[in-house]
Amino acid sequence: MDAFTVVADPTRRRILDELRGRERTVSDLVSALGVAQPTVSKHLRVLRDSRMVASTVDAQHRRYRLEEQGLRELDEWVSAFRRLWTTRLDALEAHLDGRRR
Amino acid sequence: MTETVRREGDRIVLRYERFLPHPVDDVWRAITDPEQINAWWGTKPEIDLRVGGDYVSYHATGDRVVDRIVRLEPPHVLAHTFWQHLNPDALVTYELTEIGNGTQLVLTHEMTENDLRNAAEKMKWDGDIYDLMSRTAAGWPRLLTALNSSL
Repeated sequence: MDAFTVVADPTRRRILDELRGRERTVSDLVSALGVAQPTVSKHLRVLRDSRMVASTVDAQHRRYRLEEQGLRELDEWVSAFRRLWTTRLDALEAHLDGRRR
Repeated sequence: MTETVRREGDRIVLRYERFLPHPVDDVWRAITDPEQINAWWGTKPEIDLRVGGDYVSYHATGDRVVDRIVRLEPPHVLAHTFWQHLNPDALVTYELTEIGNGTQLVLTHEMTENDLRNAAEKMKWDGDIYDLMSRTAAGWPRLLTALNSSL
């Protein structure tokens, strides 16, 4: 599953939001999202496979957190998207400056 | 220059704002005259400059893309669809405001999550910028925030 498809799902986006700046267990996520545990686990598996979340086990709890790698891939897409217009506007500006000279 | 990304309902809005030290009429011509557009965009479009008129652009990939002019208020507002066959609700708007002898340009590019999703389904990844753009993940402004707060 590519990164686009992964984040196109609203529940997965909510999970990513919940993990901002903190670790959460599956039961934390179940109560925060109000979604059944098997559903949360299914989505966590997808997020883990695409390396957007990672987990560590401490005592009997598995804690999930955001992981850089998968998110970086998205960030690269976003950057490319933003560059499109930035580049065009730079070119427009250079064009106008050149005409005045 | 400022650049923002925000969500308005189901729409994702990219907004760029910059001051151009040129009269508004010059800027207007630069964004509506095909010869001038060729000079800065890199390809020459065919423009039927009226509301409802076609805005036909050509791309490095060989694509001929027919868009439509949605708003036209010379020399202040030009809005047209953007790859409407892939992104039926996407809109690019140029707004020009005179400030002294210069012009404040506000460019917005808005699209819905559905636009992005449909486009992603129709196109295959090949590294092309438009492909990249149309595949850009729905919900990425939130993810960007997530990324910023996690790194």
